[in-house]
Amino acid sequence: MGARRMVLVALYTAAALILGLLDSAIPLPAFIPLPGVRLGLANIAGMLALLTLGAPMAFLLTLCRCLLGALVSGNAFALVYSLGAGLLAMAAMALARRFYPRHMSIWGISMAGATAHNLAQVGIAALIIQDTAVFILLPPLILLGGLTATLTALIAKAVMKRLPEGTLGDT
Amino acid sequence: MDALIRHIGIKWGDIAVALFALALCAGAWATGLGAPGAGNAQVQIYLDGQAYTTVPLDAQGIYEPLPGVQIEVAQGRARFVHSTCPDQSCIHMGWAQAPGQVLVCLPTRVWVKIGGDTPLDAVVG
Repeated sequence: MGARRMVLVALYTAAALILGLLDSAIPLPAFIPLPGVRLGLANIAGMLALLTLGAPMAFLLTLCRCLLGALVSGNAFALVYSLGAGLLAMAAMALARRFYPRHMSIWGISMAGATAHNLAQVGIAALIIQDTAVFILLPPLILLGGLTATLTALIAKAVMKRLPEGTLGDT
Repeated sequence: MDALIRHIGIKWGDIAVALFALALCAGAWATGLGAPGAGNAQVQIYLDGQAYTTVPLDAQGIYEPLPGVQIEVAQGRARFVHSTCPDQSCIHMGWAQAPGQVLVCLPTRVWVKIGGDTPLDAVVG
């Protein structure tokens, strides 16, 4: 890994961490009573990394921001979720990305990530409590995920448009 | 129609993803069907994967499976009133009363399920 890519991944990690903190600062559970509901803003950085640096670097980003995020927030318990869900989400996005841009738009990549993330969270919860009763929460989470995915996709698209060619990496 | 799709930029991949998500929704919803009926509705409280206690839904009281984690059953409904979790999303989930509904507090491993007959008349298949 060249120095340039290392720096870029580090910058993406920093951006993802900040976005993640912003995410936790927004008390969504108060309005939408679902466990683990959030805007998923850190995925903006994840998607951009995926699109400009490729899947391996994007996975590295996910790993870094989840570990550091847990350290920063002091919430080690959340690490089980964020890492599991984050990696699965990135895998889904990497898969979707293979069809981009001809057969898939950024929204599709975002939605794949959001859906995978929610599925993973509910799945992990079901494993922890040893019951499939939590699956009843999946439909509203997925539908909400559709909305948040739209938001993150719009922001990611806007960022890509405004940055000069080659700023973020090699597309 | 074509121009609309081109302008918004929807591609068949997006539709595939959306359909997959909807299929997941349907599947998840289906797992809640046919829950074993036990006559009257009951509040089942679980701690760490084991049943902690089961009370009829029309009972009244506060149950504390763990110090600091309290579940209130009143007026045919149940909810978390207090918890030691950092999120507090379990409390925000509010009241549960229909069979099949669950309230979950993951950090504390406490969760509540409303058991009993489902609102459906029959499940065929």
